[in-house]
This record gives sequence, structure tokens and C-alpha cells, in this order.
Amino acid sequence: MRKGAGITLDRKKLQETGLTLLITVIALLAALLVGALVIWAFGSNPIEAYGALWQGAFGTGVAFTVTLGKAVPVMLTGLAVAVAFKCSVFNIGAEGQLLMGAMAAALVGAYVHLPMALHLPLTILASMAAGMAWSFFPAILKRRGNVSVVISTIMFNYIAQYLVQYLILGPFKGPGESPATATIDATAQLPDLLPKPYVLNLGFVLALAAVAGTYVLLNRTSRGYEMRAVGLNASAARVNGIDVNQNMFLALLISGALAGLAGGIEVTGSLNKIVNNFSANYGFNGIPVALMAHNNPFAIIFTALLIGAMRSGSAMMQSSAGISKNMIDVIQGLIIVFLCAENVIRYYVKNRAGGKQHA
Amino acid sequence: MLNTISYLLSATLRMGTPIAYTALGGMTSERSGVNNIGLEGIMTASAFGAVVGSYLFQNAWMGILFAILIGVAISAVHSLVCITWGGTQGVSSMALVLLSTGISGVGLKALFNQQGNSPEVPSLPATTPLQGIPVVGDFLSKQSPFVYLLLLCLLATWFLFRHTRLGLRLITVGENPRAAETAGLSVHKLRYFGVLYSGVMGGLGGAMLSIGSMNMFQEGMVAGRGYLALGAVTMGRWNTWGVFGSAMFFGFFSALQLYLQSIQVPIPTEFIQMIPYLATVVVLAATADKGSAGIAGAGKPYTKYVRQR
Repeated sequence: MRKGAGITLDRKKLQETGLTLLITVIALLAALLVGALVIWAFGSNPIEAYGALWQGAFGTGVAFTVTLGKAVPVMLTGLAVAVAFKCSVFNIGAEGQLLMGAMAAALVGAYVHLPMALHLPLTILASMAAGMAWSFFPAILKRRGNVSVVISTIMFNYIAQYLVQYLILGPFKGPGESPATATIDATAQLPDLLPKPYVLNLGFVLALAAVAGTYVLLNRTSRGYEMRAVGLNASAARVNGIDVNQNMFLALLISGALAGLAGGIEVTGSLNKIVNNFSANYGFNGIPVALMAHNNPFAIIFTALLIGAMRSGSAMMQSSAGISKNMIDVIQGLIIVFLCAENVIRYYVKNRAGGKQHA
Repeated sequence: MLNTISYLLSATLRMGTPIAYTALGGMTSERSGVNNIGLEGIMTASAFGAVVGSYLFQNAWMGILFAILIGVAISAVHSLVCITWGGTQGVSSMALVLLSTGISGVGLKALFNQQGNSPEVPSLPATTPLQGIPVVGDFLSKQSPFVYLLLLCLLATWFLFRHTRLGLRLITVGENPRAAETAGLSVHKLRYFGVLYSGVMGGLGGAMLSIGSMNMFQEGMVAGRGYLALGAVTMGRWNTWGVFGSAMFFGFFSALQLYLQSIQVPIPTEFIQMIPYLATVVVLAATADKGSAGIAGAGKPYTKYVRQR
């Protein structure tokens, strides 16, 4: 009897996973379809454009490693958004937190001199601390002053942007003409995983470790349980003695640390310094990454690869199909729009299943 | 001294007007029960739309019309997602932002074969017929017609909520959709009106940026003003005059930033440019009311697809 109950439960869980996957695939296909119409409406050939996008992302072995590399920052910002989301906090400030993390890594990497075994971990930790510090302000403003997290995190994005710009052009401008910081020490650079010309560094492994860590935090600790409880139903959580505000506060701090790590890996892994305006929306890309994965850490690996592929293929799409790189923003927006049809799809699936049972 | 005051006043109007338009729209949408964090996106797309209209017809007024149409189109997506499908409102809003930045970038390349900014187009920088007025005529004529149009929109919005049945119904579906439906009102239709109204207003706000205070579209030109508008709605406590005042208050900080840059104070430009954003956070922290929950029904979907709690 008990065994039977277990099996039905598993089947239910499997059905639920299948449905979630179906919703994501439908949203992706619908977005690509409408995206094709947009490309066509602006006078380009959609098949050519998507072909170039694919070719640019997966066409060669080197291109594939670039795609993997581009997936790293969005995987981390995706995790950042997902952790906060699980606790009902909408962190759209990952962009600013990433910038501050990158800045901290660039400074510690260039101005602290230590052997690699200490320098590299210190640089990475500094980026996480800076990202966390940047999310601390919105978090404390929410907790103490009831200021909307959406508005304050966005404002701190702009403040971070100007602050980093000031630091790059002013006190920490590196040698040479270009607006950039000094190159970080070799002891602070992430080692490559593959020989040249492939471009893949240890950052990819760190990102996977962050995925595992986030999973453990959310699903295997009591703190994670509390956070998810707040996200599912804040009133129920409160009645059961969970400190809702404290959990939201912590979720935002963890989210900031993950976004900061994304910046730190960009600097220690590929850029080795900060150039002005380097981030190009990695923070905002974390939102579709998290949403497509339904905030599941392991699913984020795949959705991040998808967005990473779009980012790495977009240049070729622009050069050979003549449609602007910005097209991938349109596609991401459309993906989110169609993901929002989740309730509609669930409604019809459930009603059909229900109808069958009655018949 | 008089020059400084005149400069600041004029700059406050110029910087505050787009925020005020957008905030009036955001307020109407929120009162009807749909949060619209995506105002930034509506402004971006319609700032671009305004340039396209103005370019195609070589007439800035056609630009305004285009901007409104684009604003309505973008907010229609938000309505469909949030009202009909019952999607999460904050999430849909971020889709609007991505869609709008994407579309304007793609459009720039496809229509003008340019990146970053559009060519110069006819714009509406001044209201010359007002020049004849004694004493203040010079000052008044230097303001964009958008500033005067805002006055009309302000009165219209105030009248809508203060004196019309429609306004009262909008408030009802925002506060308690179930009661409103029981009383025979169509929650969906009224909410669609609220959100599309924010599209019209956001469209005007975006148009003011590209063809009111400038004569071209630049990527990133909205620079968070949609979010400032959102802040103004909260700070103004969903009241027409309060929202207008708050928007102008934020406009003042942007004006102050411009002024400090123009007199070359010995502070790095980047810190001066932070002022509007920092001020917003500080002001919201100072005025946020811990007890107030805002509009009771806002943010919650009301459709058969989502179980009502």
C-alpha cells in the first residue's frame, strides 16, 4: 500500500517535470517563430539569420567553447535572480552587483600581490563580497524602510555604473590610452581548461560548482527551506514562525554575492581588467535564464547555455544576415512573454485530464 | 541669480515632464490593479517610434502619433500577459524592457543603417506662438509644446479619477476585483483601459525625450526615467497631483545635475550624474510608509487561469 502510494507520487512528480519542460519548449519555439516574423518584417531573411546565429554559436569547436564561456556569467546571474525569486524577491540589480564584483576583482587582482594559491581565491572572494555589499543597500532599505526592491536595485545599477566609470577613468586608470584598469597579476588569473585556440577557463567549473551550491542551499538546508516557504506563501510561512523579512534580506544578499561572482569570473577568467561598459547586460540576461529554468538551479545550466549561445552567435548573425545583434534581446523578451502563458497551458492540461477522469 | 532660477525652472520642466507623463500612466495602470514596472520599456520603444514617425513624415506631430501607437502596442502585450493570461506582472514588465530595447536596436539598423543613434529628425523644442505674451513670453515660448500638453493630460487624468464613473470603476477593480465583478463590471475591460492608458502616457513621455528635448534617438537615452516614474507613483501615493509633484521633484534633481555640470563644480562628473538616482533612493526611503500597502488588488492576477486566493 505504502509502496503504491510512493509510485503514484513519483509519477505525479514526473508529470509535473514533463509539463514544466513542455511549457519552456513551447515558449522557446513560439518566441523563435514570432522572432522570425520580426526579422522578416525588418527586411531580413529569418532562416539565414537563425542559421548564422547557430553557426556562430556552434559552428566550430572554438565557437562552442566561446558559447560555453559566454554561458558562465549568465549562469551566475541567472542563479542570482533565481535564489531571490525563490524567496519572492525580484532582484533586477544583478547588473550593478556584477559590476561591483568585477571592480573589486580588478582591484584586488592588480594591487594585491600574493602567491596564486592565495591570490586567486582572495580575488574571487572579493568579487562576491562586493556584489553582496552592493545588494546590502537595497536589502536593508527594504527591511527597514519598506522601499521597493525593484526600484532600489535598478537605481543602484545606475549608481554602480557611474561609480565604476569614475574609478576606471579616474583613480584606478591603468597605463595606456584606453579607459581601463591595470591588468591583473598572473597569480589572479583563472587557468585555462583547454589549450589554445580553445577558450575555456576554470570559471566554467566554478559556475557549475555555484549551481550545485545553490541547489544544496535551497533544497538541503533549513535556511533554504524557509526561503522557499516564504516564496510559496509568505503569510503561511509567517504563521509558522518563519521570519519573512529576514529571509528576504538574506536571499537578496546571496543573490548579490552570486552576481558579484559573475563579475569576478569575467575579470579573472577572460578580461583580466575592466574596460568601460564591458558588461553589456549580463545582469539583465539572468532574468530570462532564471525564468526559463523555472528557478531550478540545474535547469539553469541549460538555459544559460541557450542564452550564451545567442550571445556568442549574435555577432555572426549581424555580419552575415544584416539584422542587428539586438535581435537576441527581442527573442529573450518574447521568451519571457510566452513563458507567462504558463497558467493558460496548465489550465487546459489540467481540465483535459480532469475531463478524462470523469468520463 | 534670476538666470540660475530661470535655468533650473526650465530644466526641471524639461527633465520632469517625461517622468510626469509616464508616472500619470503608471498611476492609472496601478490604480486599476496592474503594476507596470516596464514603463522604461514603453518609453524606450516610443522614443524610437517618435523618431521614426517624425522621420517618415518630416513632421514632429506625426512622431507623437507614432510614439503613442507604439506605446499602446507595447502596453497591449503587457495587458494580454497580465490581464488575460494572469502572468506575473513584474516578469512581464521585464519582457517589455527587453523587447523594447531590442526592437529599437533592430529598427535603428534596419531603418537607418545606424548603430547607437538615429539621424536628426524634426522636433518640437519650443512653443513660438507664446512669444507675444509680455514679461514671461520669452520664458514660456522656450518650453517644448510637450510641457503644455502635459498640463492637458494632467487635468484629464485628474478629471477622470475625480469626476467620472469610469475613474471610480477603475479604482474599484483595482481595490477589489471580485466585488467589482459581482457588481457587474468587466474587470478585464477596465484593466485593459488602465494599462493601455499607461501606454499612451508612456508614449508621450518617450516622445518628449527623443523629439521634445532632443532631435534624435540614442540607445540608452531613457536612462532609468521609467523607473523614476515608478518611484514617483509610489511617492505621490497614487494621487494625480502627488504623482505630478513627485515627478517634478525627480525632474529637479536631474536639472540640478545639469546645472552643476554647467557651472563646472569641482566634483567628478560621474558623482553629479548619480544625483537623480541617489536622490530617488533617499527620497523613497524617507517617504516610504511602512503600514501602507498601496492598491489592494494591484499585482494580483484576476482570471480563470489562476486560482483566486
